[in-house]
Amino acid sequence: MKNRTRADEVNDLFERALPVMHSTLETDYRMTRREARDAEHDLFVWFHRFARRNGLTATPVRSLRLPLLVAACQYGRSFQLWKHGGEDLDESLGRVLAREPQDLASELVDRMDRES
Amino acid sequence: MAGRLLRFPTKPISSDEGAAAARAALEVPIESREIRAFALQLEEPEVLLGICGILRSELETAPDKVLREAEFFYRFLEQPKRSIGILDEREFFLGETALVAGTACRLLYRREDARRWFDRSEAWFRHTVNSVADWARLSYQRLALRLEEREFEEVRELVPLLIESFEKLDMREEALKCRFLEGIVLMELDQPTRALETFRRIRSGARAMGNDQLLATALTNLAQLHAGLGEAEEALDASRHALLVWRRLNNRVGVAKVHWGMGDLLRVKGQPSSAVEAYREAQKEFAEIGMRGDVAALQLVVADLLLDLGQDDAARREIVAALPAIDEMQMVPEGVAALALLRESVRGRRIDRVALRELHGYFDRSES
Repeated sequence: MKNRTRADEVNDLFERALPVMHSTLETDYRMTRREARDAEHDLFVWFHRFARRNGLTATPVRSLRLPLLVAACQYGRSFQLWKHGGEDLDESLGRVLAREPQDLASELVDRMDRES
Repeated sequence: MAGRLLRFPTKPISSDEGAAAARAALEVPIESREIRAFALQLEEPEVLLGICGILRSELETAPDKVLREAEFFYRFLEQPKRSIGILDEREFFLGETALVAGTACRLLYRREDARRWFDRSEAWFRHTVNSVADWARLSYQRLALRLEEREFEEVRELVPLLIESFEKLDMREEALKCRFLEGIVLMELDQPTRALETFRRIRSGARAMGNDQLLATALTNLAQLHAGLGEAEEALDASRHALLVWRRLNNRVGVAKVHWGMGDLLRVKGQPSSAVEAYREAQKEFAEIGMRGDVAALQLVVADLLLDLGQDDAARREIVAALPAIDEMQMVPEGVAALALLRESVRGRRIDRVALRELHGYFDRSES
């Protein structure tokens, strides 16, 4: 059997988290399908570099799930704040943007754990 | 013609290309680097990631050089504000280069500078996605600095909390590194049996993880402890093993520390000439990598030994040679007082042994 590299493990984790990230970006952060796809591409590139940062190279990849989801939420939030500038937002998007990405990401981790 | 330069997105590069570009960038002299920033791809996160990795790996062997490089990259990233990578990458690289610069300052005994760099690092890490882990790494460096300032009780209280943080984050290597601080505190508080246990546990943990750097550091500390307890065979065995691993890692600071430990052992065993030889080996390694503080500390140790041998003039020459480098260091008040007493005694006829020993006691060679 081929030896699995850390990059393979990073790919696997990303793929497992992808449905949850996609749904969060589209449903919670109201990104269009196209915007969400672009965001996912950026997050994929970011996450591969993130897993090689100093201090994390020996950390098991499975422990990087929360930071990945925090990054996804932070991405969605920053994107919508930039897109809408000072405009009035509808109530539900306003509520999501008011939340800390860390809090929402922790809920997503719990949801993934319940579903697995 | 007036106008502005438009920058088009460049094709992303692979991690291998990034690592090669990082090595190439570091080969360019600092003074001509910024002007070639675009060609050297200095704004490319893969390159910056490679640079951070290289600088961290060279911290112990070339802290002087690493400090200059880390400072260059920090300033480059800071001003003008550049758009680097995705999400938090600019903030991470700023925090990381500041952390590396601070660590280098700590190793060079430039403690005020180290503190300033750590503050900068903290400010940037506040904005990273994984700020808890980044802050934990920063806390480790701050604790190491407090240990060097002999705040043993504070370190003893805070180390377990930091270990807990690293364990929660699944950063087992970093957690194991913290155990060194614990072991060194026990050594300093004169609890050698407990310190031995701690370093043995670190040795096993490092072997299990396959981490040679931590293994060699544990062996070096074990050698020193055994030597202090007069267990010559165990000390020599640990030293020989440590030397092998440090040489394999090409870590000159590690090699120097083992020679230093061997010098101590030979001295205790009543072989002063061989001890001086071992200390000189250590000095040579430290001098070649620009660690002037450690060279000076060893000069004081050798002076102490020469006094034992009744070679007062030679001892005086060692001390006089060490004083300028010690002057440049930012020592704790007790160290400053001992330095003043020693300086005064060197001017007179009789060297103050107590001041001499107190002063070289302020240099710690056991840090990880």
